[in-house]
Amino acid sequence: MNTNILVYAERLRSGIPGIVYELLGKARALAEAHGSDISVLLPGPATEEEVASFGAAHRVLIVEHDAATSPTPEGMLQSVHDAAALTQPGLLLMPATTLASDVAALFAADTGARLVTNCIDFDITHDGITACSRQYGGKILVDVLVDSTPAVLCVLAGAFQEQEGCVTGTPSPVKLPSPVLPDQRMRATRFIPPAPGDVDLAQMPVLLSVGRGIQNKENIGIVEELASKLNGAVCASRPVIDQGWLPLTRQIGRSGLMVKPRVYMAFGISGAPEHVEGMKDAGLIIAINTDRTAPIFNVAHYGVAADALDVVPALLEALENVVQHT
Amino acid sequence: MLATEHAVEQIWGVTLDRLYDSEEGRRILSCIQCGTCAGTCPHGEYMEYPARRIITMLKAGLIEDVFNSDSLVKCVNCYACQTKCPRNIRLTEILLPLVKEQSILRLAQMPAELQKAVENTYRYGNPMGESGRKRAQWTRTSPVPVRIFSEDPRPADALWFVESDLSFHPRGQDIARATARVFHAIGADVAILGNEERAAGDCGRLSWEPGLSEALIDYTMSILQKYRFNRIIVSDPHALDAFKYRYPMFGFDYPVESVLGFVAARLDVLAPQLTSPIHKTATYHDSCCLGRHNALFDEPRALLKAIPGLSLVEMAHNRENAVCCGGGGGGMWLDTYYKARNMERLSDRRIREAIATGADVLAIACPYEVSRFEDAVKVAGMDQRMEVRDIMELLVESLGGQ
Repeated sequence: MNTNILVYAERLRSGIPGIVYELLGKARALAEAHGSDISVLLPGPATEEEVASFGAAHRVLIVEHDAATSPTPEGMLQSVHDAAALTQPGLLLMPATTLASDVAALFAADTGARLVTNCIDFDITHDGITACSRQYGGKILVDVLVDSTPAVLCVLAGAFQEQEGCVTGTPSPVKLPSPVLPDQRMRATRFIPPAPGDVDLAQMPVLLSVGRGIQNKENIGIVEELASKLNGAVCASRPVIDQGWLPLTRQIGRSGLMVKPRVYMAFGISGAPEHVEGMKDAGLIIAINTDRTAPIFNVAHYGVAADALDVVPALLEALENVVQHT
Repeated sequence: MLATEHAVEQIWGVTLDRLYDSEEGRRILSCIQCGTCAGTCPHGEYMEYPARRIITMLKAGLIEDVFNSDSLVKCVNCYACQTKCPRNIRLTEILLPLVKEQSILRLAQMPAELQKAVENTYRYGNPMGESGRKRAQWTRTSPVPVRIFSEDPRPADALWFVESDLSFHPRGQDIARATARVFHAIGADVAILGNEERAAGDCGRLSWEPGLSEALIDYTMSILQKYRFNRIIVSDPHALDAFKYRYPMFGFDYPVESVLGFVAARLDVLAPQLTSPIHKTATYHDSCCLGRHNALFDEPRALLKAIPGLSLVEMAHNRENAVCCGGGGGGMWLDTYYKARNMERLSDRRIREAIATGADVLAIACPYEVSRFEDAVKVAGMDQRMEVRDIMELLVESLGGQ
């Protein structure tokens, strides 16, 4: 079976959304098992750092045209066709975004390829490609078997681990011809960014989380100070939120946000299972709690049996010294 | 207050359009609009249509308006309205789940946490989404051996249905180990289903997913047929409800008891072994399913009173009047949904009553309550002053190192 993979790296403005690296992470795992060849289609202009960040892939196909900066489905469709013709993928992986879903549908209609939308998981088996799709607002899950290639899959953000795909390397850059765009019936005229709300915790590489051990609302101030020094954000366990010390948007756990930052520091959090569920996949977990038997230490990579209110000022002081030395 | 076998037969297959075909359904027509149900409902003040108004709307043919509001999403299946209804209308057992199912179906979006719990229960047989192959893992850390039927299929006196919270939740596992130790102390001949067990599909929690509930019941019924035992004893009060009221509709006819009742009935064997005193004051929270729905009010108190040194105080609302912890009817996974609507967590409300008694220990007998109240004592800033312990844990503490 053809196990070659083409990943469409959609971008609306600048930067590459996390879902692209999630797809690459999954592609890497498949490549290990099946020897798949991996290509990325990147709407340009592309910087060297961006190309290097696709170390999980063998090659990066860069296409530069107006549609890259002012994206419309019709505009991107030709480039996807070009990329598919060049790499002959058995699997075309798209983010399940509004735009990419349109591109995927148009591509599938043009080529007769099988399309599965809203995937939360997929795999290559000897029968074909299996995918699990969320339907009806998530009320049901559908397991699909695609027994012909190429399979076009639109994958929902959060399906896989982003960090698995964040591998730098030297994929070969390939310039694709700029497509001749037909008269587009649809044109993007302007980009309206979402209203600035609270910080997006899911995007923060460093999170400092406070629990009951922080004792009162005023003490959160020094944690905020530490967070700003570490380019992180402050979040909390439910008891802190329920006491109104921080807004609900900052709650981590089963009834709050699921986060996977590179570093998660837990200050005075006991580690109830409902909280741990939301942060256990963080890259590095550092827990500070006076209670040596607190369950948070079961998931922490590093633990400090001390009062968070002593540790935070000490960390601030240590950081001062680091800053002075550099 | 308790359903009879006859009544169970009666409510089987009742739907809203066939409500008046059954005697129990017709009882709704006897509503006198006294408002007791709405007044006693712990979430009544947040409902556009509490039970009293639902009945009015139903009679007026305007039930669709009720479905389109999210009033019944706020019902936590606590049986307060049904218990206090002067006309004995079986609100929590019949009418409210039917309305709730329709209301949830009409939500623009299923609350994420609830959806995940249901999805997990379907896929893995437990709402946590843990692997079913790890279900019996807790037994390895049990202080006494726990017999698993699949490994040792000899007949047992009782099949102990452990349920998901006791199998997977770390605090639940504490309770599971404590329960095993208590069974050992009273010489009970019990075995568990281990990895063959899946969630019982209790009706209170899954009434809005009847298909899932039925699939789990079918599965459990098929497993039960593999083994021989005289009775089922159940740790989770919601599963107790499922076995007592739901399973009989599927041809299930084993005697069912709660673990609490089973142990309380053997207090004569257990009490002489309770030699380590606990010099503390405890207050007991009546779980809705054990208390209001199954009238187990005296058994938990008898167990607590058997512990030397432990003194028992009552909260302002106790026994039939206890305030729900908010975990039933899917409430366990609706915290975010409720909070977004500025609703106070019922466990926060209840913990203030517990604190007001001056007790050191909040004693509980339902696995939902551990995590709900342990969070609530933190929110109240009382986590250094009050601990939340299951009755089984307190009994083990009093058994000491024997």
